[in-house]
Amino acid sequence: MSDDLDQMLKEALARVEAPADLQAKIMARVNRPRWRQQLRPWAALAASLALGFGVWSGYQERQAKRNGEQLVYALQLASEKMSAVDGRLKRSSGTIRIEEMTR
Amino acid sequence: MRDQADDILARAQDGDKAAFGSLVGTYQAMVFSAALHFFRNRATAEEIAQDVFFDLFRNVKSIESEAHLAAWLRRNTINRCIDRSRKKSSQLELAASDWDAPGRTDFEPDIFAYERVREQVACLPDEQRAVVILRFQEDLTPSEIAGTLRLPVNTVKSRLHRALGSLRQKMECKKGQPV
Repeated sequence: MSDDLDQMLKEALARVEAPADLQAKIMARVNRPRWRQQLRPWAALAASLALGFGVWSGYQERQAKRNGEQLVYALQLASEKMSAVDGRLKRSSGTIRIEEMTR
Repeated sequence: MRDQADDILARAQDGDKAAFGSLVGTYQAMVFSAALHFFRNRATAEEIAQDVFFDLFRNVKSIESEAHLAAWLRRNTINRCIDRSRKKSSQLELAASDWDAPGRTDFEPDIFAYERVREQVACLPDEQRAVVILRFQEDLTPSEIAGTLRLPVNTVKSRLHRALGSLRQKMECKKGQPV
């Protein structure tokens, strides 16, 4: 039995071939930039996406801030213009009353 | 042959990635098989193999010779398997298609018998499983296993003895079951 079991164990536990793409996966990880080497592929992808999202969010925020500033400036300009128009209207309505009074 | 292997190792240590790739090609079956026999799960075995070789890449300069490299890989693989097994309970996958043994022509009865043997090996305690894999997959003697795992040789013999006794008993029980 001992010899039979030994032989069976040798055959059952014989080396099997590694997956065809295992070597390529290992070399891909070895060739990655240093900060990504420690991560498994799915984690590296998640980290890259998170980094990309962070950069994009920052860009969006800056863009929104710029848009907000531009809106405020546009409103200020509009307000000034309206003040100027209002002033002219008031001055012109005063002139009309004086003319009416002198007729 | 030995000089060529040492030359490839030396070039890998100098940063030659193609040489390192050659080392991966030479030893990946050994590493993958050990992890596969330990967990009976291909995805886990692949992850372990990737981690082992990545660790080798970072530590290749500490390897002294080709013989040292083989021992280093075996030890690293087994230690990672045991660590991982302790972190979570491994689920056994009974996918027969994972077990096509290249070159076999006399199939049916042997496949079931080998499958039973593998199942029983996978049910052994981690430390016993490790020595069984090194003994029967790698054909190492108890002294060589002791050197690889940095254990006393009597500890290795004791674990092997208990493992084989347990396997023998289980195989006998299976044989004796009514049809």
